[in-house]
Order: sequence, then structure tokens, then C-alpha cells
Amino acid sequence: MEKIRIGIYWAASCGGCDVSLLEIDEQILDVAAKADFVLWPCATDTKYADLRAYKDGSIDIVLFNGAIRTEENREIAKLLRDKAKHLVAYGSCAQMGGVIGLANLSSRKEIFTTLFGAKTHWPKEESIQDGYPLHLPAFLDRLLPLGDVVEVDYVIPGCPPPREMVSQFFDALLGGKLPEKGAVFAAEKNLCDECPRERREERITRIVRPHEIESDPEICLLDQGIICMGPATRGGCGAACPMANMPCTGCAGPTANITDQGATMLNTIASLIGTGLEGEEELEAEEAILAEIDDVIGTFYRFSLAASIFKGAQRE
Amino acid sequence: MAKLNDNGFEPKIVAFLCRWCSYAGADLAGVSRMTYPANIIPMRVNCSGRVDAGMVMAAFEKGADGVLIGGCHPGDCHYVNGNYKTRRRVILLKRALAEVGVKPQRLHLEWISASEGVKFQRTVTEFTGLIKELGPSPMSGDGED
Amino acid sequence: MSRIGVFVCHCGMNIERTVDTQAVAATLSEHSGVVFTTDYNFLCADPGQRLIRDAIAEHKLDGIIVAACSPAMHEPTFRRVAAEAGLNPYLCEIANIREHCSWVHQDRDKATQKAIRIVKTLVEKVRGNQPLEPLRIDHDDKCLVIGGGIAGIQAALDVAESGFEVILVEKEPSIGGHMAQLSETFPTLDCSQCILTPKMVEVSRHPNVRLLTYSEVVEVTGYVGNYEVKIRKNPTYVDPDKCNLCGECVKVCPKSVGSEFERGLVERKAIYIPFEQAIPSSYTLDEEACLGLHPLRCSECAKVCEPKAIDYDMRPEYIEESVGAIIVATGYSLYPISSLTEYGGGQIPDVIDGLQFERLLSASGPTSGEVRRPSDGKIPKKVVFIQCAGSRDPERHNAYCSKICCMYTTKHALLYRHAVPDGEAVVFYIDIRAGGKGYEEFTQHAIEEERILYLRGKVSKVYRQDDRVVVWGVDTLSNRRVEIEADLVVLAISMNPHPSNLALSKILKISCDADGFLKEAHPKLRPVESLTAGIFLAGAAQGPKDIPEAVSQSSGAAVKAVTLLTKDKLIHSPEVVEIDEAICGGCGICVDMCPYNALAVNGAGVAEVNEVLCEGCGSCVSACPTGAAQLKNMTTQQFVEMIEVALQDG
Ligand code: SF4
Ligand code: SF4
Ligand code: SF4
Ligand code: FES
Repeated sequence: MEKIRIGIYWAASCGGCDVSLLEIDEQILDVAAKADFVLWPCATDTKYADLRAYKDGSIDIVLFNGAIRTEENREIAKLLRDKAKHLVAYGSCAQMGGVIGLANLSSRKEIFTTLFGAKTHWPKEESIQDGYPLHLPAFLDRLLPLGDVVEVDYVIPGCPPPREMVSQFFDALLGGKLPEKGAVFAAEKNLCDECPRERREERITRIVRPHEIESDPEICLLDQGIICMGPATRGGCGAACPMANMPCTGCAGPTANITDQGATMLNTIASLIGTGLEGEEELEAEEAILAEIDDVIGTFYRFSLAASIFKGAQRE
Repeated sequence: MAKLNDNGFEPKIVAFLCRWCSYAGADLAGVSRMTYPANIIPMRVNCSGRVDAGMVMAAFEKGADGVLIGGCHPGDCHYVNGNYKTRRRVILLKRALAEVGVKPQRLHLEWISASEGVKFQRTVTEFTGLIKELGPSPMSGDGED
Repeated sequence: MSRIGVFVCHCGMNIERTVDTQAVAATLSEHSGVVFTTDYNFLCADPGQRLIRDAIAEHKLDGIIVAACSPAMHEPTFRRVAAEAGLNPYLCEIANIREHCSWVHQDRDKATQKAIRIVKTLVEKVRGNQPLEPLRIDHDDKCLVIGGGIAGIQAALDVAESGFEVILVEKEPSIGGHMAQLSETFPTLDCSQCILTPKMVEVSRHPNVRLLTYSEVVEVTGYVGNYEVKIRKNPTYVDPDKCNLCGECVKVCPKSVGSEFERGLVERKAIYIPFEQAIPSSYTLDEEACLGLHPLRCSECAKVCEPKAIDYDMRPEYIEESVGAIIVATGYSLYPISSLTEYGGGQIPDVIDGLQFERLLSASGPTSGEVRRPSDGKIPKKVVFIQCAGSRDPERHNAYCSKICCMYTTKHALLYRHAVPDGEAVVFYIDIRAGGKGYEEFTQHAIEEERILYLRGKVSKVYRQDDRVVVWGVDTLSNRRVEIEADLVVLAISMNPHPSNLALSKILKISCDADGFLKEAHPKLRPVESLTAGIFLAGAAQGPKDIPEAVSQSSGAAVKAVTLLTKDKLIHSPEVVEIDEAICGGCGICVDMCPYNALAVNGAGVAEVNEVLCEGCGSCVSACPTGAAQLKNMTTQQFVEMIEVALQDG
């Protein structure tokens, strides 16, 4: 039986996604037996020239992690789209821009100034280093999720994708049972569905950060005033964070018919805030609770800003 | 009535009007033959409590220069308290807008009762004037970055 | 949906004047999915309706938009037309291009462009609509009437006579309301008590009426046909079944306060009966006035009460009832006389309000019908009546006309002239509004034959000089300043909304208008209904009214209530929330959002809707973090598409 040809690529990424592949424990033996890795920059040495030489559609599946931050990321994404039969957005950055998508709150200029200081210190796209010409890929104005550049067939969400989802994917791949295009290897329902904490359907009367209180491990974090993105986030991870006494931060992205995870969670939190009564007399108290949320975008769009309706900062 | 700043810019404004108060207030403005700028496109919602952040953002994304939400006065919501929920959403949403660089004044929430045709007229006139002054939204296509 | 029809109405010139309806139709014919468009003079008229029906059949339309007046006007009409042509009525939508467009804009081009955008949004809405069937629900068949004045009494009697049980709740110790305070009624001069008392008796004895006096509605939940009502019956501390009306208690009670019924002209005791014909016919111990409700403090009354009717341990009693319909007849109050400082209101004892004068005229009043002024009990020989006191004065007082004052002032002047034949009556008026059967004749008679001096003009100042009240005014007809030294001044004070309207409107989830009167569903066509289904308005609760009007409105409200109660099933809008069970994670966030408790997370861990309770507000939809909760025919997806076309150019 012919082996499945797998490619793995990292674009703007921290490397965690590559590591997460190893978390599938002994299943990795199965993968090794049935598949060849034809591209994996993190583990093997493949040149772009080799990649270009592959015939279109000759890689069965490409797991693409990381977001599109540079011209190079974009170019390779397009190239891989051609070479791959199936392209998978692997991890939050490929799926939605991820944490690094928050960089979209700043312009390219602001980012460079922060990093390199005065404009004269900025790296140049074309330069001569040690007598050789050096070309650096252009830094895009905005970070993009993979899906903004090429068509994506599947999504394995997470930052990094948790073992459950990765192994669910390999089961399908190795078993020849890849689902319909567009599938997300996570639960259809939100995280609350699998979270063992008990939700008491209470109003949020204060907002605290996890380290500020000793939270009750049995009770829903929202009920205790900790902003948990679980409601607006797909399950599939087994509610790993809430079970470790940390709120969900939304890395798996929203459920199927939500376009903007942050806006949705903003709605939810604003709806739930309150003293339990609704009335004019409560308005001040409500405002005070809302004021406890600092960094609205960072809270609600931690992973999804680049894929949100606004995509990043507008200049006005 | 605010004087319109006439810079030739004709903004597009989406108005979400709750069926029981603001939409009816707009009806009354009509019945009373009051006039106001034609820049708003009214959309009926059952309650201002139905207007969520996604709808407002979608309006900006699709090219609105301003978004007006009209609801019943505090205590008068036909569904008891939908307007309070929206009021809270608007507070957070304005902060989110500011953080992504869209002027929060482009979103306006106003309580307009079914008997306040005059207030509807005034609100629309003033808000249109304000958006004219602000110029096109950065997302509306013709807005500068 | 791929076969959408768009019908653009001219509404005569109402729309056509500023909106180019032909252009609207033409532009829409290019819109995707639209297969038929037309414009027509009056779509709501019979031929217009026929045109719509024919087009639906001929073009096999599977969705229609009628671009016309506000949906508040004709949505039901056009949905019915759709149904008649075999199209599910929920696939018909109204684009409001009159109230929201043609009537408020003058630039024809801009108005036309806006109309096009409006119609497009509705096309997108219809495209996303699904055919729906109304929900059919059971209902209770009792009726709650709030307020036991003439309006409430009439409504209660009418409903009770139709065979339905009525719970009549009155805040005061007795029913009768303001009408019980009146001496005689205009224009016929019937004795008010004589025509009211039989009705009070009838309603209290009616087998279908449960009368709860000294009671207040404190909580209402539920929905049309199925309201759960909680009523607090305040303790009267007197058992009406034991009380034999001997009145011994009053004689011994050491505490006096101003009598409400006599409008403070005399005092009553802490234990009292509001007036002789009060129903229920029993004494009431006013908790606030009483020295202590405790044998150690006073207990004089209990000591003398032979039948042992007085019980200091009486507690508020809470009564719960399920009713199908509610009629609100809270009546009115008077504009506070002390706010009329320009007329010396509240400062000069001989400046009184109309209801006080009624008491002075009344045979059962504190002066046994002899007109004697409050300060010294003298019979006033010159009385000035000031109309529009506190009315029609947007700067300082109420902007509205209280409607009844012109007539009752005539009546007052006339009755005064009858009571004090050598007395002089002067009336200051702005206009005389005598629109009503026999009203104009009544005032004319008073002016011409009863020697009452009518001066057209406003009073600028009223002050006290020795034992007289001096009135400065102008007679605008002769352009003369007038100064009158009067013995008594009677202010035809403005009617105010009843102070309980505000709290009650919140309990009932109905609205008040800007003045504080309860708001009707439509000022012309639905004047006895509130905007909340199953709640009706009667009498001055809805706006100033005289007795015949209040009584007719009450009968109107009663018919509305009876119509509802007679129905086998009630119809509930199917535009309710729907939960996508595949996505819903049972987080329960929606549950707490619903003001009607329509949602609960079920055993399977998903939210479940009680469709009958859902009013379709969408609060849960906005809060649902997964998009699982959606309003039928108003989904987020539909809104996004509507927004898109609304903003589209060209
Ligand atoms: S802790 Fe988070 S994931 Fe768990 S139920 Fe609460 S909101 Fe949902
Ligand atoms: S809020 Fe949404 S996801 Fe949560 S229980 Fe309700 S319908 Fe389900
Ligand atoms: S839309 Fe939702 S919140 Fe509103 S009444 Fe229906 S179930 Fe309740
Ligand atoms: S119905 Fe108007 S704001 Fe809720």
C-alpha cells in the first residue's frame, strides 16, 4: 500500500504546533508506518527548490501552522495549496491569526519602531551581507490567517492543538475517512458542554483575574467572575484549562455559525454583567463592573483578532 | 436642530430601531411630517436587546459610516429589560471600537419612545451631522486609512 | 426563495410625491430572486389587494414585499391577502417607505434611493424567512379589573354579565372613585351618588364579581390569556362580616387626619368609613394614622367594638389569581393645588379645587350642600371660577387640555347660583370647549339665563386682602383689566394621571405616554388596548375623560376582554426562538436572559424553549455565545444580509 505523503509547514508561528504533533504518543508509530513526511522544515531539511519541483497535488495533506505575516509566508502558502491535495490550517495562528494576530492592533511602522527603533535601524528588504546580496521577505501591513490567502480544507484548532483533536485527525487520515471539506477537528458544541464545572446561571457581579481569588474548582468560572471564553469556544479539548483552574482563552475558535468570536463573547459578558436586578438604579453598578475589564480586544479576541470582522486596527 | 455641516459627504447610517418605541417614534415623525436627512436606513428589530455587537460590526464592515440604535426608555422596554442589556453591550462595544481605532461616536444609542417623534427627528438630524463631520468610516471604502 | 414579488404603493400622492415608485419597482426587478415588481395607487384598497393575490398566483411567487406604509398599519392586512392567495403569511413583509421615507424627506432623488435600500432589506429578510404556523394556546377565562371607579365598575359589570368571572381590585377602602365625590353631573344635573350607588351595589353583589378593596396588584407574570396575578389585600383591621356599622369606634378614636373623601375640608378619625354609601360597607383602620395598633398604645376602638370586629393582628393577605385578560381603570388624580402658586393655591384657604367645591355642593358633604367657604364658614357672595388651572400651560404646568373642566365649571357656577341665589359667579376662561351631547346648550343656558359672567382671559394674580380674595385678570374681549374682590375662588384644576400608573405600567409591562397616562396601542384605531396583548385600558387612566366617555370606553374594553375570553384557543406568534441542538452546549446563558422564563436547559444538556412564553425579544439570541439560539424569521444571518444590501451601492 502506498504511503500517505504528509507535509508540515510553519509560517509565522512559535513552534509549539510542531511539538504538539508529538503529543499523540504511540499513535506516532502508526503514523510513521503509514505515512511519509515529504516536508517538515522543523525536522528535516527541504529546500524551496525541492518543494517547487513537486508536482501539483502530489502531497496528500499539508498541515500548515502559523499565520501569514510576511510575503514569504504568503508565497509558500500559495505554493503549498498547489502541491497539496488537502490543506489543513493547523493551530490557532493558521486558523484565526492566533495570539500574534493581536499585532494587528499596531501598524507595521509601530511594530518596527518598537522592535528596531529609528527607521535607519529597520532591516532592509534588499541588502549586501558579507559581500552577498540578501533578500528579506516583505513584512505585510497586516497579519492574515491562512484562509485569507488560500482556500483551506480542514481546521485543527488550538494553541497548540490538543492531543484529542490531533489524534482524531490522524485517525481519520490513516483510516481513509477524511470528512467533508470544511470540517473542524473539534466539537460542534461549546466548551461548556464538556466542562465539568457547574454553571449556576448567575449574573457576573464582579470581574476578577484568576490569581486574584481562590476559585471554587466545582463552580463555573464565569459565575465566580473570571472571564472564561468557554461559552464562545468550541469544545474538543476536554476543557483542559477550566479543569486546571484556568479560564478558557478561546484558542479553539468559535462554533460553526459564529463569524466573530470576540464580538460574541462581548455580547455574552455584557448580557451577564449585573447585580442580578435589571433597572435604572443598577446602571452605575453595571458600569463599574464593566470598567473592570481592561483591554477589551485582548480579552475577547486573544486568538481571533486577525479573523474578526475588523481584522485589526482601523486608522481614523 | 443642529445645523448640518455641508461638506458634500453623504454618510450611510444604519439604524436599528426597536419595534415598540423607536420604530414607532419614527412612524410618528412621519405622521407628523417632520423632516430629517435621508442618510439613515432604518431596520426594525423586536427590541434593542436584539442588537448585538456582531450586527453593529457587520454594519461597519459593509460600509456604514455610523450606526444608530434606538430603544425604549429605561424601564419602558416592551420586554422589560432588553434595553439595559444593550446599553451594557454598547458600553463595551464602544471601548472595543476605540481600541481598534474606530471613533466610538460612530455608534450611538438613544432612547426614543413611541411618542417622541420630535426626538427621533432631532436624533437623526444631529447624528447625521456628527457623522458628516467625522467623515467616512475607515472601513467604508471611501474612508482613508 | 427565488420567486419574490415586490409591490410598491403610491398611497395616492403620499408616497408618490417624494418617492419615484416606478423607479423603485424597476430597480428591484434587477435584484436577485425578484421575479415580479409593480407599482400601484392604493395597494390596501380592494383592487390593490386583488392585484397582489393575482400576481402571487400568476407568477407563483414564494415571497412578497409590500412597500407601503408602516407595518404598524397594514402588516396584518397584507399578510391576510397573502394567505388568501395561498402564500404563507409569514412570507409577506412590509417595507415602510411612507412614515420612514416619503413623509420625512423632500428631495425626491434621495428619498427614492433610500426607499430602494429599504425595500432591498426586506427582500433579503423574506428570502431568509420560513413559512410558519401560528401557535394555538389555551387560556384562563377570568378577567382582572384594576380600579373601582365608574370605569372599572362598568367594565367589571359588562364582563361579568357576559358570563365571565371578574376580579375587581380597588386600592381605596371603597369602590366608587371620584364619581362618588361629585354632587351633580353635567349636563343633565343628575345627582352623581344617585346614579352611581346602584352600580356600586350591583357590582358588589354580582355573582361573577370578586371584589377586593383596599388591595393592590403587586405582581403580574405570564402572557395574554395566561396571566398570573398577585394581589395584596391590605389589612383594614376591621372584619367587615362582624362590623355592624355602629360607629362607636369613631367616637372614641383620639386621632384625626384630613378626610381624603372630603378633600381635606374636614377631618376623619384614624378609624373611619370613607363615606356613607361606601362599599364594602365597613370601617377601616388607617394604619398610618392610628396611634399604634397595639393595646398598650391605644386600643380605644377595640374596647368599644361590641361585635369584636377590630383585629390588630390582621396582616396583609396575598391573593393569587390566574386571569386571561386585564382591564386597567386606575382613573386620575388632580394636579396639586399647591403647584398653582400664581393663584394662591395651597396658601389661601379660600382658593379651592373643583373637587372640594363638589363636596361643598354635595348634600352629603361637610356643609350638607350649603356652600360655605373653608376659612370662616361664611356663605360666599361672589365666587370666581378659573378655568384651565394647570392645563394648557406647557411652560409651567400640564400642556394638555383636561377636557372636563369647561363643563364642570359651568355646572359649578350654575349650582352655586341655585344654592346662593343672590350670589355672583364669574368665570375666567380661555376657550369654552363644549363638544358633547347637550354640552353647548348647557353652557349657553348658563351664560344667557343664569346670569353667570363669563370673562375671556387669563388670571394673572390672586392674593388675599383681609377676608377676601382679590383676582386680577384681563378680559381680552373688551381689552380691560379686571380686578375682582371675591369671597371664594374655585380652580378648575387640571387632571393628572393617577400616581399609580407608573408603577403599574412596569408591573404590567405596558407603557405610559409622555404625560403619564397609559398609552393606547393606537390613538385612533385601538384606543382601548394597550400594546401588550390581553391588557386593555378604560377611563381616565388613558387620558382625561368625562363620565360618559369613560363609561363607553369601559364597555369597549370589556368587549375586547370578552372577545378574548370567548375564544376557544388564543393564537400566539410563531416568530419565537429556536435552539440548534447540535451546537447548543447547554451553557445556560440564555436562561437568565429571558424576561419571561421561556428557557431552561433540559436533561439532555441543551436549552429548550417554551414557545408560548417566548415573546420574541431576542435577548437570549444576543447573549447566546454559540449562535444556537435564533429567532425564527429574524436570524442573525438574515440581519447580516439585510445590512449588506442596505449599504450596497447601485
Ligand atoms: S468554566 Fe468556562 S467552559 Fe466551564 S462552564 Fe464555565 S464558562 Fe463554560
Ligand atoms: S446560550 Fe446558546 S449555547 Fe448556551 S444554552 Fe443557551 S442556546 Fe445553548
Ligand atoms: S427571544 Fe429569548 S429571551 Fe426573548 S422571550 Fe424568547 S426565549 Fe425569552
Ligand atoms: S422593546 Fe424597545 S428596547 Fe426593548
